[in-house]
Order: sequence, then structure tokens, then C-alpha cells
Amino acid sequence: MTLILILLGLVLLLLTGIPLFAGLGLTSIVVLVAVEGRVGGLADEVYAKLSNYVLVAIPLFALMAHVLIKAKIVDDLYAFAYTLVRHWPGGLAVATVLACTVFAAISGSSVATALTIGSVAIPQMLRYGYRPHVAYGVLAAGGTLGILIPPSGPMVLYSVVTEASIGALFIAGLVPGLLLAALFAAFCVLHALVDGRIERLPAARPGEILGALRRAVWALVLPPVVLGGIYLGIFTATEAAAVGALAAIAIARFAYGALPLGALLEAAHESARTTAMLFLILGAAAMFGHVISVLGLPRDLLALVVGQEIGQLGFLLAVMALVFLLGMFLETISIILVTTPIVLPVMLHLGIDPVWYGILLMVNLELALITPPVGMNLFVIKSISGAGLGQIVRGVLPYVLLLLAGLVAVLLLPELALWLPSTTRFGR
Amino acid sequence: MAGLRRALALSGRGIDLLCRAGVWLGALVALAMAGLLGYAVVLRYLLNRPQAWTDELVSYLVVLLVMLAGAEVMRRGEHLAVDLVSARLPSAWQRGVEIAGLLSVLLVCGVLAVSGWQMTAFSHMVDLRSTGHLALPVWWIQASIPAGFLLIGLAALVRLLRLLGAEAAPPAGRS
Repeated sequence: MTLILILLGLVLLLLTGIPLFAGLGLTSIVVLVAVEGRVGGLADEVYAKLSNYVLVAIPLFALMAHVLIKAKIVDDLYAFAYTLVRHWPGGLAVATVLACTVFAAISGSSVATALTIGSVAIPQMLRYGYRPHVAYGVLAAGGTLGILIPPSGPMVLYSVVTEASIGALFIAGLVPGLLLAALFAAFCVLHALVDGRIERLPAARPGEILGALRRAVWALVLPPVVLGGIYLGIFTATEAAAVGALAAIAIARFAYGALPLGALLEAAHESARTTAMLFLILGAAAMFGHVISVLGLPRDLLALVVGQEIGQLGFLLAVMALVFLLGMFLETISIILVTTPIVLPVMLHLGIDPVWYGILLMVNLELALITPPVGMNLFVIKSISGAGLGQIVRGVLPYVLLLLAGLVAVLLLPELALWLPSTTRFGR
Repeated sequence: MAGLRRALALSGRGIDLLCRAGVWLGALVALAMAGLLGYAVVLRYLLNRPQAWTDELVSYLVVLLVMLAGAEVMRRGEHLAVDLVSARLPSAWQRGVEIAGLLSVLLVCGVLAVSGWQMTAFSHMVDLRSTGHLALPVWWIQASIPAGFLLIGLAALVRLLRLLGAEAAPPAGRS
């Protein structure tokens, strides 16, 4: 009951528009004063959470993405995907999904993926006869792949809370991420076949494809370097982020000649702001985690699960339903940081692999990004296109169903997430 | 009264300047972290000389980065928030909600600045050292926590005063 009251109070407080870090901090302070009559030691929780080697990956992946955006390398990526599949039914939409998939493997952020690819793809899709809601739906949903396909900022935060291997999480996200991308692309093809309005374009000539590949090759090189380095055990995830950022700077500067010092500093400036925004929430969530631990809430939840003899599947279904509901009202970072410390002890008690749970959580959070009334990618597409929220929501509905299917698939077939890590040094 | 408003405006601009300087230093820290880790990878694979200290140093630098950049994010109003309810309120209510939000930020930052100061003072008193290769005095990095939250709190205070119209001049509006 205490847990429900605290969570309800927190959600209501956050819905007022208070900055998330302040909402989490204020709730923690109020509960601590009520329970212990003092708030000493909170800064220790913040410091202990932030001074973490794994977290360093987030500003560096953000730096890599901002550098690539500044150098307009993304435009070449989209042009290459477009040249490859433009003659397919729904070829432009498929190219959009492809570009989102590759950019997801560079940026680590769903919002950045939707924003960056959206700015290039939406005008093109509208020009070639796509109904606006269809174009918005592809972009909003394709963007969500950013948190599942590694690298992923939210996965890093989850790894810090659970101490699950970040390398294993990254590798585990690859198969479900690519499967969802394939599912999205297949839906685009089917939709175009049913809707006769969409213009079919002639196939690109081999010379045209080669030209586009030559321009996009540098952007295509980065994901294999970053992920291959982690997969083969050459770098840690944090080092991979640094190597990726340095490689992006070198490519933008020397291969594209498009990154003057000012632009590099601006990219670092944006990366520092993104990091501060995320990590202040993480610091406040550390305070909140301390509070729920003082109240013994994870212990109570564990006792409840043991008392009711709830099994793995029942527990996961209940938690996933809760996360889905929270996802309609809160954004992804706060959901990870608020719910994970509460469910972690039960998860470990029931023998649920934290890597598997992490992937389930990420797929569910992809839904959170596109389910109204609060879905960050819906807002991103709204800001790019100026369209009404209703039109965008209409466009994402089919993808909500596809993501739900993906969530059920990973729930019933854990191997989808765990097979790849088990074939590497991350297998246990 | 006019003198007080002018003094507030001047202080506000001074704090804006500190916020902007902080985030640029944070940007340099981000680049330094990339450089340090890249250097460690190169030395490990090309010269077979692993550098254990770089991992420890970057895990402290990330704290510094957050505390340097947090105030500029507050100044720009870029902190993540869910405005589902507040966006639908009449403008007078929206203003009230924003004021309440900024007061919450002030309270949280105040508590963390004091708590951070106590933590830093204790680490300094017992000469607490980091457990890695560097054996750095921990208070060097911990001191960024009270300083950072103090600056975030000041940035929130400036926004609050501007919202209440307590300054003589409008906000600079630069970003």
C-alpha cells in the first residue's frame, strides 16, 4: 500500500511539469523527513551513483551522435538506404526504417534518431504520395529502435542500477532490435501494396548505388567498429564509446571536411547538456532508491510475491503491464530508474536473467515513446512536422501492435535476447 | 527599490555567465574523457602498456561534467519534465505551477548543497583517498557536488525572480 501511495504521489507530482530530477528529489526528501526526521547523507547517494565508469559511455555516445549530425553524415546514410530500396513497394518508408536502424546503432537515443532521420525523411515521403499520418508513424516508430539497438543510453542506465553487464545488454538487444526493424519494414511493404497511392520509383542503377555507398561508407563503418569491438572483447562499452566518438570526429573532420573546431565544440556542448539532464535524474533516482530501501519496499514486494506463489511469467506479465501503463504518462528514463530498484530483488529471487528483463524493459519503453498522452517521439514528430498529435497517434497505432507482438515474442522466447550473449564472452 | 531591481538584474547576468562558462568547461571535460580513453586503448594495443588510472580518472570526471553543465540546462529550461497537466491549465495557473516547480528545485538543490558540503568536509577531515591507482583525495571531486547544486539552485532562483518580474531588465535571452 505504501509503495502504491508513493508511486501515485510521485506520478501526480511529475505530471505537474516539475523537472523530473526535482520531482524525484522532493518526493525522497519528504518521505525521508516523514520517516526518519532527517535528510542527511543524500549527497553520498548521488555521488556514489554518478562516479561510475560505465556511465562515461553516455556522454561519449552522445558526442559521437552530435558530431555526425553536425557533419550532416546522416543525409548520406538516408540517401544510401533510399537508393537501395526505393523501387520496393513502400520503398521510401523501408529506407526510413533502414536509416533509423543504422542511426540507432550510432546514436544510442530514440529521440535523436526520430529527430535526425525525421528531418530528412518526412519531406521526401510526403513528396512521393505518402499520407502524412503514415509518414509520421514510420518515423516515430522507427526512432524507437534507438533504445533497443545498441549502443543505448537507457541500457547503460539500467546496467548501472542492476549491475548487469552492459556489454551483454548491448549484444542482447541486437537480435530483437533487428527483428523489430524487419517487422516494421515488412509492414511498410504490405501497407504500400494495399494503399495504391504511393508512387513506385525505378530501381537505382549499380553506379548510382555505388556512388551512394561511397558517400555513406563512413557512417556505415562506425556501428561495426563500436559493436564489433565490444562483441570481440577488444574494448569495454565505455572505451567503445570513446573510440566511436574519436572515429566520428576524425571522419567528420578529415573524410567529410565538415567539422570546424567551432562545430566540434558545439557538439561537445550539446553532449554535456544532454548528460547533465540525464544524470541529474539519475542522481535524484539514487535518492529515491535510498528512500524505498529505507522503507523496505523491495523486501515487502518480495514477501508478497513469495506469499502469493507468483511465478516468473506471472510476475513479468504484471510488471510489464505496470511499465506499459506508466509509459503512457512518464518518459523512459524515470520509468527505468523508479521501477528497476523496486523489482530487482524479486527478479533475482525468481531467477529472471537481468539481461533478459532489460531487453523486455527496453521493448516496453519503445512503446512508452509512442503511446499517448506522453510519448517523447510523438512530440518530436509533432515539432518537426507541425502536425496534430491525433494524426501522429493514428500513424503509430499499427506499430504499437507490432511492438506488443515483439514484447510477447521476447517474453515467450528469451533466447531471442539471450542467444547472442551466450555465444560470446558475456555468456554465463 | 529600483536600485535593488538593478542589483538583482546584474547578479542574474553574473549567474548566467557562470552557467555558460560551466557548460563550456563541461564540454571540454567530455572531449578530455574521449581523449583519455582513446589514449588508453592505443597504449594497451599498440604499445602493450595498459593504463589503469584512466578508468578511475574518467569516472570522477563524469561527476565534474554533470555538475559543471547542470546549471546551464536549468538556465535554458531544458530539464526533462512531463507537462501533460500544466500545458492544459490557464496561463495564470501555468505560472503558478512553474513557480512551485522552481521552488521545489530550490529546496532539492539546497538540501543537496548542504548534504554535499557535509560529505566533502568529512572526506577532507579524514583524508579519504580513492581506492584505485591514483589514490586521489576524494574531496577534490566531491566538492563539485555542493558547488554544482549551489549553481543549479542559483540558476533556478534567477528564473524564479525573472518570472516574478523582480528584475529591472528582461532576461538576456541568449543561449
